[in-house]
Amino acid sequence: MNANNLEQEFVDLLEGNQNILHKICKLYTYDAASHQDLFQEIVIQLWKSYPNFKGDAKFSTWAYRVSLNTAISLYRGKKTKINTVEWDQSFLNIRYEEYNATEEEQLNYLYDAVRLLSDVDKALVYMYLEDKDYAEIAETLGITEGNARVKMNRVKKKIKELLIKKGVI
Amino acid sequence: MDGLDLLKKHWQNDQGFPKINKQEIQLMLHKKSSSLLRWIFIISVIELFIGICLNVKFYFYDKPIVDANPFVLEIFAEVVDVLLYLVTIYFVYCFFSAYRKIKNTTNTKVLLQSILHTRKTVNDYIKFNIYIIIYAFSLEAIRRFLNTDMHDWNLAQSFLYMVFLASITFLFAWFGIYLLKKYYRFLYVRLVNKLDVNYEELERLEQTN
Repeated sequence: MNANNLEQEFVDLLEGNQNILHKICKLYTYDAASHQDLFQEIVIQLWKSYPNFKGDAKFSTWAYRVSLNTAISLYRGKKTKINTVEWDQSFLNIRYEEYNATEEEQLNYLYDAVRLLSDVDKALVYMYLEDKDYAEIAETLGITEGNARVKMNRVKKKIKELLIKKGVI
Repeated sequence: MDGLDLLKKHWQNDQGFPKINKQEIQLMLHKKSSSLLRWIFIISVIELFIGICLNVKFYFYDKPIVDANPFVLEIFAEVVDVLLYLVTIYFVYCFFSAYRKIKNTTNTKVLLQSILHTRKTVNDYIKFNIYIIIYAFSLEAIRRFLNTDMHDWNLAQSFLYMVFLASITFLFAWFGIYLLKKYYRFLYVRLVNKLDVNYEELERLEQTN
């Protein structure tokens, strides 16, 4: 296959699977500019290793692994972290106004809570949301299956505590 | 329903993302990566290059010193020079072979490990160069001491002169190492800190369970 065909094949596959990248960007970035930044870096990393993609795995499985690796290990990320003080304040305001969050608001708080987690915890959350089993989570991160389970339970507990503390659930 | 389950319910159907078309993807393929790995590579190559330049400089600078010394010292200095080049070649080889082994398709822990290992090769090379600089300073101090005409000096004067040269050498070495440590702390926070934190988190998980 010549270079142009390979490029076209890659572009076609990526266009159809781009939501994998967007979803990872959504967990690892805080604004549209860094979302775009990370998206682009993932595309570059995927393209770099595409010639070695054997096709024996699904493109989507291969793509989410490279994407997570890029977010955890390669993406430089900007210094702008979510402002936890503002986050706390927004919860306080809501409680004073007799909090009655809609599902959409709850989701936004959930996303914000996930964004406060470490890079590794976010990867676990991503794979949990994608319905990956513990064997796959463990294999992707390079830990044992038992530890993946323990870690996942801790992450769930952490998020739940955070939301209970803030009065969201 | 706990928090994550609510998110999971929504996650599967979340389509609210900007659609990137084929042309935009194609443009992205030809953009330069701004990844940490690329920066680590560039900085490492610069550091290796500076190290090699320093070695070459020392080699030429060493010549008159060597000539002035006894034959045994001359041989010793030549052996050190040869070793210096062999060690430099070894470090350059280790760096590039470690860099080539980095694959973004391996598991996260192995990827982090391989990047940190590549970077460590350069750090070891820098440490090696610091020892060489200290060696060169010490050699220069010894040369000055041996070449100074001390016929009219008493033992105390000779001793004081020796202490003076040793202090100057020590101060230079200390200041050089201090500057390098500051530089590395600054560089590390920017380059490798994120990798270190993530790798340690995975390592800790395996150790505590």
